[in-house]
Amino acid sequence: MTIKIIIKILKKTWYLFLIPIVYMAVAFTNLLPPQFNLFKKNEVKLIETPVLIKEIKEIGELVCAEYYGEVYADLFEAYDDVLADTIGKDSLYFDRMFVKYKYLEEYKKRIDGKSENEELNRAEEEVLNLREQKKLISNANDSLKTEIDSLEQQLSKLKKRKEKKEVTKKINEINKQRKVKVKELRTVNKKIELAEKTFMEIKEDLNSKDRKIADFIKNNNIVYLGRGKVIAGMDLMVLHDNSIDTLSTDTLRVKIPQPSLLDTIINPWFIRYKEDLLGNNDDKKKGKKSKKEKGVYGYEVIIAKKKNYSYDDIKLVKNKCLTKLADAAISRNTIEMAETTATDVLVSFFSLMGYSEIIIEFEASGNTNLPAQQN
Amino acid sequence: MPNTLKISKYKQMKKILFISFASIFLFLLNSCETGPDRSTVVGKLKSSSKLSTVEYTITKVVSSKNEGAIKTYFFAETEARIKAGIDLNKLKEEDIIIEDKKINLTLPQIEIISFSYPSNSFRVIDRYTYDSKLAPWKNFNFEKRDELFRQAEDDIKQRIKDLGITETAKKNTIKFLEPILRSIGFTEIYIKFKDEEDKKNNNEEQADESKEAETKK
Repeated sequence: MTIKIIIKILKKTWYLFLIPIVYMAVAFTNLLPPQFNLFKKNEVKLIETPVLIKEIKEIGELVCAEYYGEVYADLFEAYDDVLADTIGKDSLYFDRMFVKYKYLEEYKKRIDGKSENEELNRAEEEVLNLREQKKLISNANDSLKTEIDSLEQQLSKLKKRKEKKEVTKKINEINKQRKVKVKELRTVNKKIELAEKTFMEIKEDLNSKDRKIADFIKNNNIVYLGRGKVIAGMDLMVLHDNSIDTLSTDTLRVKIPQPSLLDTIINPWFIRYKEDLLGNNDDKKKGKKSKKEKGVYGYEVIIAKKKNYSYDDIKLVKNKCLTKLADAAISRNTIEMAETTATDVLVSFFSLMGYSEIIIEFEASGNTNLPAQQN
Repeated sequence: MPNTLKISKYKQMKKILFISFASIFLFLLNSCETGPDRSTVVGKLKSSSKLSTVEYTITKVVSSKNEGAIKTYFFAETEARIKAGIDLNKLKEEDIIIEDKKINLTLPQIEIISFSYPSNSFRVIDRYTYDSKLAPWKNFNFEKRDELFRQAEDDIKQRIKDLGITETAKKNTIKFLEPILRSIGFTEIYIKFKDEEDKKNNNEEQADESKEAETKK
């Protein structure tokens, strides 16, 4: 009856259902103007806004080495860093973090489940202890058996009745002890069986949790590739009156701070324009970006399983890229190279000023090896 | 006879096919866009000798909107840092003239030493950022935001020339070098920059040209 009514209504109002179908058809063929097209993805266009100067700072940095690198980082390795930082923090802090980072709470719950690792270790230890116990009992049993065997051999050789009786008594006593040992062995075997079962159950449970964590990461991850540069050198603003000493008319001693990482930079663009940003003549001649060149992104998404990551999530992954790039620069001896170059640069600079012997000394400073950029 | 005809026709066809495939292949090869080869840049460690004497921190609002039946907005405050100075490698022997306690130093022209537009300085203003639940494809997701930041970087770089960074860097470089030169015994210090000299030369050349033109008249 109801079906009949529905069919009747459909027959009368079929044209109403046609409207969305026609709209969708027209929308997908791009015939609608963009403001009426719900399905059209708009072109991302920046609204023109001014560039304002916030601060002008006097600096004196000598850049001596530059490392260009490419690194990658994913959301969950960045989450691991966040969780490592939360040790000893209160629940309010966690709440704030969970609001900021979309998948952190869920990830933490799954990671916390892994604390059963200790339980697995305990179960394994118990199995091993029981096995050791079994070994001891069976060894004792074996030695009793050998004793019985030797006594039986002795018995077969004996002729006197009294002696035979004594040996038989001994054999019976040892047999009694063996029976106890066999009983103990059975109990231990049962215990081992039980402990092994528990161990396997915990292991299986942990494996399934590991699989679940791996699946969760796989299904929610975002991986960014970061390309940028790390600049190493020293801050010469700290030079003081005693930093430059004229030892003689030909000899000069210069004390400079130890080089460190001055900046770790990953910009939205890695390679964009070849021409000088100030439009200096020298570089204009070197050639502008050819029409065929596309440019290379500084940050590039490699894998993104979701479309709705929070802005803080993205920031976190990008920061992880920065840290990794700074680490890569340090491991490639960027600071050591900065030290060598600084010596060369200063020696050649002061020799141009008329000095034939220049001694460069590095003074230890507190902030060496810090990835300084990151604002 | 007809057999040899068939063979020659077959050979001709083969030739035509080969030529057309080769030309298509060459066309495709030529039409492939060649991006800058990042492998030549990435993973490289190079020495440099640049002296930065000024750092500008600039701000820019990055904003975009989708207008139409479903409206979405994106609004963020961003910060960039620009360091400018000179490349000491470009300093030549002939750029330094020393006469007893007097030094004439012609420094290389000011250049941008580093440009940094770090993502951790980007602050999305939630109050002005609207997403749509009805049409999520209209929202500014992370990919669209990255695209906006790339456009913003282009915009900032185009405006660097107008920030007066060159003049400030020149002043600071002189301010930085003067005490060092004084400490090694120079009492009379004259510092200028290459571009000023170029400008002077250009002006002189232009003046000469106009004089010549006048005399010709």
